[in-house]
Amino acid sequence: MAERNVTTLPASPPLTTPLVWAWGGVLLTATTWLVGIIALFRSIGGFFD
Amino acid sequence: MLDRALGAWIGLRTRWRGLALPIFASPLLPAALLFAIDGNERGVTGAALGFGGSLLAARALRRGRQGDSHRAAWLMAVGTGLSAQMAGHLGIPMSLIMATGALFGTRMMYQALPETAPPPPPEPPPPPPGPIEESRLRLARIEAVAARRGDGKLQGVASAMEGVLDDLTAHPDRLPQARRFLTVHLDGLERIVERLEAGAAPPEGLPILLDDLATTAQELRGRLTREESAALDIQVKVLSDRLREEGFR
Repeated sequence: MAERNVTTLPASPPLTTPLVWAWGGVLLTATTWLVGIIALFRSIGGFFD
Repeated sequence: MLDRALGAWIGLRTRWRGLALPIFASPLLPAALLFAIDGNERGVTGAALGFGGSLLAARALRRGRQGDSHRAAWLMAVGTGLSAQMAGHLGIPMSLIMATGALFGTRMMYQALPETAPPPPPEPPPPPPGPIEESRLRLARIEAVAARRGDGKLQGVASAMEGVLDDLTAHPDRLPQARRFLTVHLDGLERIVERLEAGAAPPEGLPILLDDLATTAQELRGRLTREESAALDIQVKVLSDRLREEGFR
C-alpha cells in the first residue's frame, strides 16, 4: 500500500480571535488609557490647588 | 473564506504589532509635561515610567520572538501600575487592579500573532591550540623555510625536534619535563630562521650550534625514554616484592 503524505499544516487560530483582540483593547482602554486620563486630570488639577 | 480573511488580518496585525501600546499610554505625555510645569516630581516620574513601559513593551512586541508577548504584557502591567500609583494617586489596590487589567489586556490583544523561535546561541570559539600543537605549527614554519633554503642541518634539527613532539603527543604526561626544552630550542631556532630569511650571512658557528640542537633533541628523547624505563623498573620491583610478601612466590 502506498504511503500517504501526512504532513500536518499548523492549526489556524479560532475564528473568535478578533473578539479576543477587541476585548484586550477594551481592557487596555479601561486600564492604561484611563490611568493616563486620570493622571492628565490630576496634573491639570494641580494648578488649581 | 473566513479563515483566509483572518489569516490576512493576522498578517496585517503582525506588521503593525505593538504600535498601539504607546497610543494607549499617550495621555501620560501631556500629563508628564503639566506635572513638570507644576513641579510635581512624583507625578512626572509616574507618567514617564508608564509611557516608558509602553515603549519598551512595543519594542519587545516588534521583535516578535517567542515569549516576547508575555514580556510586553508584564512591562505594560508594571508601567500602568506605577503610573496609576504615582501619577494617578489611585492607591495600591486600584493600581494593582489596573496593572492586572493591562497585563491581561496586552496578552489578549496580541494573542495568536506568530512568534519566531529565538536564534540558537552562538557557537563557542574553538579552544586555543595546546602547547604541543602550537609547537608543531611553529616547527612547520621552520621546516618550510629549511626546505626552501635546502639547508640540510636545519632540516635535521627540525626533524629531531619533530621526533620529540611525536613522543610528547604519544605521552603528553612527559610535557612538563620537555616544556623548557621546547621553549628554548624553538625560540632560538625561530630567531635563527628569521635572521637567515632577512638575508643574514650564516656565521661560522652556526653548523655546530645546529648539530648541538639536534643532539640535545635526541638526548631529550633518550632521557625521557630512560626515565620511563626506570619508572617501569621500579614498578616491576615493587610488584615482585609484594607477590613475595603475600606468599605467591
